[in-house]
Amino acid sequence: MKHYDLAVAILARPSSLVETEDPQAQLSALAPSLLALAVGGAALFGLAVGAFHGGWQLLYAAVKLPLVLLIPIAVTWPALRIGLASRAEPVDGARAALAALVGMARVGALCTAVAPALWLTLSLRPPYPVALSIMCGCLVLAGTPGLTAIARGLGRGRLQLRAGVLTVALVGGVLAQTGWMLRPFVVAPEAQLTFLCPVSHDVVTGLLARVAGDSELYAGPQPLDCAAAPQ
Amino acid sequence: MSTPPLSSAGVLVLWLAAGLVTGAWLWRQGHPPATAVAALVAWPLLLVLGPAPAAPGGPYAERIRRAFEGTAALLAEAGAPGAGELDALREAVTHADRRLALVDAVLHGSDGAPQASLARLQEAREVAGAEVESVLEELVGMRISVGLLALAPGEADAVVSEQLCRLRARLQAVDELARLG
Repeated sequence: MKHYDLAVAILARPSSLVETEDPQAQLSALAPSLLALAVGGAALFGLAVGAFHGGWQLLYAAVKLPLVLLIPIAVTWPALRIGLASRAEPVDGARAALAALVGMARVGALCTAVAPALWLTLSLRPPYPVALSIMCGCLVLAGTPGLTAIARGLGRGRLQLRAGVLTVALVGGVLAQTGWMLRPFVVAPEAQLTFLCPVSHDVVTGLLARVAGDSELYAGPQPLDCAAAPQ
Repeated sequence: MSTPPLSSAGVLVLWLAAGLVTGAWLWRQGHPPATAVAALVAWPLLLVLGPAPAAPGGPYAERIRRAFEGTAALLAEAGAPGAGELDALREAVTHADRRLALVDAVLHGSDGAPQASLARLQEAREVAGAEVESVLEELVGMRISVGLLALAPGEADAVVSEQLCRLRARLQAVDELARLG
């Protein structure tokens, strides 16, 4: 299948790629292209995000964004498969892996589509919290159809709802924590650049504490959000 | 703040090492090189892949399968060696069969090609096909020899090996097809 046809199929009818008579052969044949679409799209999105600060952050974000996409799905995939397996309707491993890759590729393709608009918006230099919110919004826009594709690929019939809930809960949770661990992505132009923030807390504790304005929690050598410009 | 037990670089190295092992395994299973490379980063998703599907056989695939399975079983039952030679012969016959399939495909989709070339190719294909058929017939006929030689085990080894080598040599005539391409 040509790359253009593949991209169209991923966006328009992802189920057609998963619903195949021989998922093993399909997975073996399509895995490199699907992975390239996912990683390439996420890297482009990272470039757009990194442009808010410029310089090395272009490279940092372009490297880290594909990891934010890849790690949660690779880590949660075995749990998803086990969670959805039942005696009556076992989940075929190759089919589940194909669904995960198609979902990732769909996110990558949508990231590619969103990246130019994001870059233009961030080039207007909005305040840091606004820029962060815009990036998160774009990620939700690109990520939701991908998660939907994974859930549809994993679950058939009665399993569909269960697959959807499980996918969103598991992948969404791990995605949030992975993003937290690999931050910063949006870095204020005046802020000091760093590849990774120090490991501190989990995403829920960190965000709750930030909302509550608990300054003691961030009394370490660097502030919690090491991407924001110093006040 | 406590130091994390495993640094980011350590996790990355472990991940890539697992990907390298998985990629090498997929390569050995016959998957495309690009799939093996993809396993470097997405190995958990590609661990489910089994052996790559075998290449499609040619016009004699089913006859080859039946002939060799029967002969291998007989050789094992008679205690005669020659499994190595039999495997080599099977590989040669299968290879010739796949080339016949390729020639058939060329002949099938060659509208507008020069008639003289097509006629030569068709003639060579018939010769090669007859040779494969002949080898398969002799292989089936060889079972009787194996049965007779089972009564004299000392002589069986050399005779079986010699017959299998002779059949393999005959298949070399099929290589003439390649020169016609």
